[in-house]
Amino acid sequence: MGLFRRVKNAWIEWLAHYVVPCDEVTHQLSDRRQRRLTWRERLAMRFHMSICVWCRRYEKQLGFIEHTVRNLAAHPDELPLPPDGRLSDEMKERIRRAADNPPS
Amino acid sequence: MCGAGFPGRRPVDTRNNRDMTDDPDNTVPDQPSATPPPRNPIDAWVDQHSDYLFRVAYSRLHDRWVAEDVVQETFLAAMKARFDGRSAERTWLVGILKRKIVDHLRIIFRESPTDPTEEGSAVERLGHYPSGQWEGHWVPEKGPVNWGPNPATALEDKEFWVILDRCLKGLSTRLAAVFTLYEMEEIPAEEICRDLEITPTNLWVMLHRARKQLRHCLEQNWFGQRPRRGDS
Repeated sequence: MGLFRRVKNAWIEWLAHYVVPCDEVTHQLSDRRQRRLTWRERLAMRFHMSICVWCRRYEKQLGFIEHTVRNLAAHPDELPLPPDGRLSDEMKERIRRAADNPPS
Repeated sequence: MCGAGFPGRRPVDTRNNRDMTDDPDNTVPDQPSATPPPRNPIDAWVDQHSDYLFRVAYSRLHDRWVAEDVVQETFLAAMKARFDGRSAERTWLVGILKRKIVDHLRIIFRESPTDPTEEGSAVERLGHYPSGQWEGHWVPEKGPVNWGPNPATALEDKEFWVILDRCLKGLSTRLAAVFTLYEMEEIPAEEICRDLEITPTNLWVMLHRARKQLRHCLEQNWFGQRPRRGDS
């Protein structure tokens, strides 16, 4: 095996052994919204993110989800909300009747 | 129906919603009215606010029937309470509605039979190597795909909101409750932990699982099916 190949394998071995696994990183990306990571965690994450395209995408996608859900929460009126966004006529009638005959 | 009611209370013709201070015994005959008598104020509130309240409730609960129940409970509570007119009617009603929503979520959380530490744990391992040298890392074919340079354009598509609704509905009872309370009702973490009797660690883990599952669902059902545009 050539030298280059051996160095490359050693590098990959080292990575597999030392780099934080992605499942932990995704957990920490989520936790970052609630707590401050330790400096060790932040350092390990920075290195991980520089070599892991999937976790980079995950981070962006988490941000998108947070933004979209907040949007939904703040503007339920403006969004095309399933089913049809209206209280059923039966329920409206029931409430009106209860109002006209208030329970004692 | 006229009457002075309680001492100190203004006499009101409740059928016609007229102030009778000047004529508490209704000796002056009614004028023929040009407009029909005003309805019960609750009627007006139903007309003006019930659809909006329903949308607020549905966006949190993702179930038409549960949302309708909560809206009904809100109006019943509003009938019993006294609106002091200090805030806008809608704001006041939404305040009552949100309390009902939080109460509902707390109840269904507690009544859910599964163990909160176990619930949804499989989603954490989804797409990752289960063992071997690369245990815990993304399997390249199963890792997050590129959602494109501007995923926010999806928000303009009505279909997307149907998919999002379905994905939110797909969360288990407890994950959904925690996620909604934290992300949509923005209840502080300490308060959620106290109400639901869970530790902060439980909370973080559940939020992580909910987010991971949501991300996966949106990718499977929306973004993963759009044409890819290279790497980011």
